[in-house]
Amino acid sequence: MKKITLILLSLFTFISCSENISRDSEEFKIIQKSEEYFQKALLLENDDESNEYFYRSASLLDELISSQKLDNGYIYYNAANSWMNSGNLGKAILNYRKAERRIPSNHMVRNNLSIARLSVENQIERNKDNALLKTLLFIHYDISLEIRVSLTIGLVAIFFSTASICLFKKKKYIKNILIVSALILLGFSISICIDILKPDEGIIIYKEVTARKGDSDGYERSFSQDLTEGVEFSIISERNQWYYIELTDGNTCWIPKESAELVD
Amino acid sequence: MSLCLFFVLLFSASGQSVRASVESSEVYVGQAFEFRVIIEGTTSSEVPELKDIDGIKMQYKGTSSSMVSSFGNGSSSSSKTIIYSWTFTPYRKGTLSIPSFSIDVNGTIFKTASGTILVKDPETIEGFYLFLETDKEDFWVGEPIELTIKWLFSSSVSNPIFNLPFIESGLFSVESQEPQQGNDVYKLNINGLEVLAMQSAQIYKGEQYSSLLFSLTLIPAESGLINIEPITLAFDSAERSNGFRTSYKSLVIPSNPIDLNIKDLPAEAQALEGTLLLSDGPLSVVAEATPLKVHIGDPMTYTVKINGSVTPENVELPSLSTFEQMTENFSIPERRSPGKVHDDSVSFSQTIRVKNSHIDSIPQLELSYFDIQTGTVNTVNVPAIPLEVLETNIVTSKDLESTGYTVSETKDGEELISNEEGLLFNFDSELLLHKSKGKKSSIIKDSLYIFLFILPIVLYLTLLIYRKRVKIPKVAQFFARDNSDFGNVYSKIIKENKTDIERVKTEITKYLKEYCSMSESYSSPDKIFQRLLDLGNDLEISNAVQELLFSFEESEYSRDKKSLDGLAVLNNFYSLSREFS
Repeated sequence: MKKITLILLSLFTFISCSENISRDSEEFKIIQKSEEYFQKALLLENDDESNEYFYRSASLLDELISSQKLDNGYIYYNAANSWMNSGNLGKAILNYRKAERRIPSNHMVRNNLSIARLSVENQIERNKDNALLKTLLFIHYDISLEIRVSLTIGLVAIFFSTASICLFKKKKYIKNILIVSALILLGFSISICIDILKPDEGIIIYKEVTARKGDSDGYERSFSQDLTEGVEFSIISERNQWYYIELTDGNTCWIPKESAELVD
Repeated sequence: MSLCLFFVLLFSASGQSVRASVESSEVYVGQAFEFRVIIEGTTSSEVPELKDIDGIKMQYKGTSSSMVSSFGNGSSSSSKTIIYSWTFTPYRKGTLSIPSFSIDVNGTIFKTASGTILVKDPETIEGFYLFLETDKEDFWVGEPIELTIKWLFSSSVSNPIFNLPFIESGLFSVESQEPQQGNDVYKLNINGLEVLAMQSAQIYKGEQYSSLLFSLTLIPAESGLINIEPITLAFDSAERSNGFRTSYKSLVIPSNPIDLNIKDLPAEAQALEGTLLLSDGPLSVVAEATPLKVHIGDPMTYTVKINGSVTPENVELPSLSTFEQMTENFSIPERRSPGKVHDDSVSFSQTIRVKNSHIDSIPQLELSYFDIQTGTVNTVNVPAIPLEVLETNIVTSKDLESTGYTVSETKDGEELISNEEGLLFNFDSELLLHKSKGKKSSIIKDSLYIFLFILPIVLYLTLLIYRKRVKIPKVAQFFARDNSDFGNVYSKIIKENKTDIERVKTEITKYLKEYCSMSESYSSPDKIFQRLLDLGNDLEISNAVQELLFSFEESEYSRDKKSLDGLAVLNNFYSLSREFS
């Protein structure tokens, strides 16, 4: 039994340990170059020049993210800052949202996302966050999906190890461990299911896009105004290179796929 | 309305043909008609892209396709058709030409012939009236104009389509107004603008009419005399009842034209362009800031609330950076929140930061506004707000790391620059090297996660099956703590199938002696009970063992020595022994 427990714990520790890329790697050099551009942009007084350097900084990080060599909240946050300062609000909000998914409890990400949202031209009404609910369900709101999944795997191991012991030893304290781990496991499972079943979300990255009542440019406009970059939505369905979306105020419309990117 | 076919087109070698048609070649301004492209010989094709036509607004309606198969005379044939429809709405009178369109049908290009449509001005019809009204004729540039559109009708009507060409003229920015509460409200889409119209009844020229009324706010961008030409309304009117059925007739009516005189703002007001507010009457201003005790560089929220009839469609607080007394002592970001409009006030909030320690207040600011009632430029003061600026602990560049502020070298020394809510502050490069499974899809589908998730379940199920279906004693042996576990003895007896009471008693007594480390040849049940308690066993378990031993003694000295069932006693003691500490 000890052996099995040890094997499970070792495996859990293995997946929990983060994998880092070496400082001598090509990726680190690109990150440093991007930071160099960012710092240079901060010192420039000319707005156009400054924007150009912020754009270069963002592009380098974007390239790194696209290559799938790195994926973490910090790189998305830095990329978002560069996009924001270069004037690409849609890309900025997209990257802040991606950062928020990976490091949800980070206040810097939250603050910058709030600032970016204030800059969106279409201020669409959104449900206010329930602070009490967020505090009570902090595991769901403040812990990333990856960590919740890792913890759930650990809890599954604890639960079934305890259940296995229970097959042979019917001690009261073992039963208590079993009940407690089952309850915690249930909570984590619900939290993960909510995230998995939630519809995909996206951000408009085009400066302006005309929302339509159907999946082609021939259909009537949904709203008198165009949707502007940075507008957030959730996807109801997709068809013929068009997304059928729901805005944060509950309105629905169709937009071309290329005008938006998904938060994943 | 009869179908007018005026384009007959090419045939391809594959038997495909394309033709286009319109419902009518003579329509009124604002009267919508259908334009169709009919492609025969296929049921799949891309939606044709039509070029813009001068004087006509196009709206794609949709697609329909059909396939008809026929059999006869020993052979079969099928015809496929796909029809694309658009709604064309002419917005000016005259002969409008519909140009030739190129239609791509699965790689083959067909070209339609061009045609013309005669568009006439509609005429007034007895019993139906359309009015354009404003409360006055003279307005200032930027002043909101309330334009009311009223339709009176005396019979049953349906499908009203308003055509308001001035909306797309670029002379105004246009917004719809909320109708009064408590009335029946209908949603209309007018030239891409969603409008809520109110239905009520009205007396006109001594007769009662139903009315549909809505208002638009127009904000003129340029001065001059603007003539708004008659708008048109197309609708279906119930003509007669034939039994249970009512027939409808399509009608189009024009409105009256109106003239608007848009005056330029006085030179004094034009000089303040960009910082000038427009109001309908006098304004008053209050200001507040939080917190009032700040360190250098700390953010504080500065709110200016303007009370009075500011035209909310055109209101923007002049940027704080245009006030010299503010830029001197405060760091003011370019980005700011849009104004929040309340019933009779607008408030603006902005985050600012103190740059210098010697200041003791946010200074008084002077706001200029143009009163459209009096036609004069007036000023109103934003009151000063006292502040307490505390000494800052941030003294070196090192201290500033990760705070969101940086130091910039200037001619006069060093100046503190705020990094504006962290937008200019990045995470350390090394943190970016962290590699994780960030995407939801990659977390869920990760094979290691799936393996680790399933592994304990599989192990548990294996043990469960083994425990329930295979040899229990063997499993018990496997999990035995050491040789003192009764599981070994139990399995041995079961294996040998010698469960007579004498054997069982001997083995249990022997086991208990070993377990209790007792060397005497005879140990009383009381002694064993005491010893079990000493070894940390529960009172209940120890008692049960004591009872069992007493039952051994009783059976020994009773007449019927076979009163105990060996297997039952063995199983009972085995269960008890599993609870031993």
